[in-house]
Amino acid sequence: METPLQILSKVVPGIISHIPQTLLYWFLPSVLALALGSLLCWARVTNRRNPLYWICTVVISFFRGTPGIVQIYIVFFGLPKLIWAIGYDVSDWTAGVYFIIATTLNLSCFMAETLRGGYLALDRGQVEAGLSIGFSRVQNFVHVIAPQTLKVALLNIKNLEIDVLKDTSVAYTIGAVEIMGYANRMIALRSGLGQLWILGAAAVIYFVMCAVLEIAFNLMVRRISRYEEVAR
Amino acid sequence: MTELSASAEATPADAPVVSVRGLKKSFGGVEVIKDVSFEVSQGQVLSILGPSGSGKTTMLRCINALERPDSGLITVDGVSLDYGKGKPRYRDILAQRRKTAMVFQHYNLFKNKTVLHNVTEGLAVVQRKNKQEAEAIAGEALEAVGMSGLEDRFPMHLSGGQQQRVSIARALALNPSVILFDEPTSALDPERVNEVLRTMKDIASRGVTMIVVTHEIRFARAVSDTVIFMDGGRIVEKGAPDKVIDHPQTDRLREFLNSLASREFE
Repeated sequence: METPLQILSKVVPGIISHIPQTLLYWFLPSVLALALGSLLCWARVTNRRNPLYWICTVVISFFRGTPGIVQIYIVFFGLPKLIWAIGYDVSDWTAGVYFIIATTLNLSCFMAETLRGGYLALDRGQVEAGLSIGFSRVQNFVHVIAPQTLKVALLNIKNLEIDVLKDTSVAYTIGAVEIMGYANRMIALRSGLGQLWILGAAAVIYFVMCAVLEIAFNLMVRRISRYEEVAR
Repeated sequence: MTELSASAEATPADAPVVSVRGLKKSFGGVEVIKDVSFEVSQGQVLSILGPSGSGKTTMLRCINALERPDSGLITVDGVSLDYGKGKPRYRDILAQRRKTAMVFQHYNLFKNKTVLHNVTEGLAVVQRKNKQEAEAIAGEALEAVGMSGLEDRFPMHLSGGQQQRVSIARALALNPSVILFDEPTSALDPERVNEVLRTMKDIASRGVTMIVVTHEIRFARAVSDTVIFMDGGRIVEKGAPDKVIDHPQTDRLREFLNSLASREFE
């Protein structure tokens, strides 16, 4: 009979060694979704006569209205067929690639709506002030619109990012190996022996990562809102 | 201080810095500006008076293209936009806008930037001045409006009058051909109005060309070279302040001046 300590000492190093995979499955979609989400957001704040507005509206409501796991399966099983149909063979793509694609698409839609909320909260006077001192549209976006939109959106982005970090744990369902995938494999190899200890160890590691992420975001929020502090 | 005083030495003394010809603008079928024309010469101060809804703010906003006129020819320091020929090129709009600067009714300082950075932003980003140069010019501009020593404050921690003076410094620092003032004291409490008007008078005495939409009759009389009275989207009277304000020719202007006077002594 193994003691809990013996179980953990066998499994925890393996779990820890899979932290980079988990971080990759979180970080890559986050960066890609910030870019893609910004584009979707832009399409959603232009005028409604633009067909792009309606296309993006439908796409966003689809991704927000279907379960993430269904989207992951659809991308995992459907995308290779689609790509094969147009003449490419992607059978060497790993499950992680599909997970990243699916998560990016999903997160982009949530990101777009979060950014849109921030953009709509923007004071028109700030935008006009930028134009009045001679900013071009791009300069006004970079120096006025983007920072102020981000400031409003940042708390909601924090929530999204924490969800995305935790949801990397479903990547194992299509065979992508990260913390949860590894933990599951160990549990299966050990025929379920000590599974609560293994799951518990995984939970603690997720919790620590989320806590670090939360603290990092809080520091960012404080930094970006420092102009609202009471005068010293 | 030479940096901040009158620009455009190249412009001949009598050539207009701002020229507006046949300006028309409607909002949703309502014509708010009906064929307005006027000129402002180098170093002159033009005040625009008129009741709410007379089109004065809209007209001012057409001069830096924050509103797009339906037709009319607007020239600022040699850059012309002819709205009668359809939508002007974006490049030309930007070029004309960069000849102007605006002071807004609600200040519109960048709320996430310090006083200093509010003033240096345009210098650094638009005029591509390096940091030292931008900060030196900003320092002079802030001194000119009496805001030295508050460079590191955020707008939220300033009074309305202080914010408006920073916004004047922001405009002044860019050394534009004309500064547009859109009811700069309307949002201030009465005690703060004078500090802003005094600052504007200082700026005017430097030879800066100014167009001021205002309800401050006494300021208009003391500082302007020309006063325009607008009503219903047209210029009703135009001339020297002692002529327009002290000897109104139309019933409409007399009525307007009386209503302002009676409010003062209520």
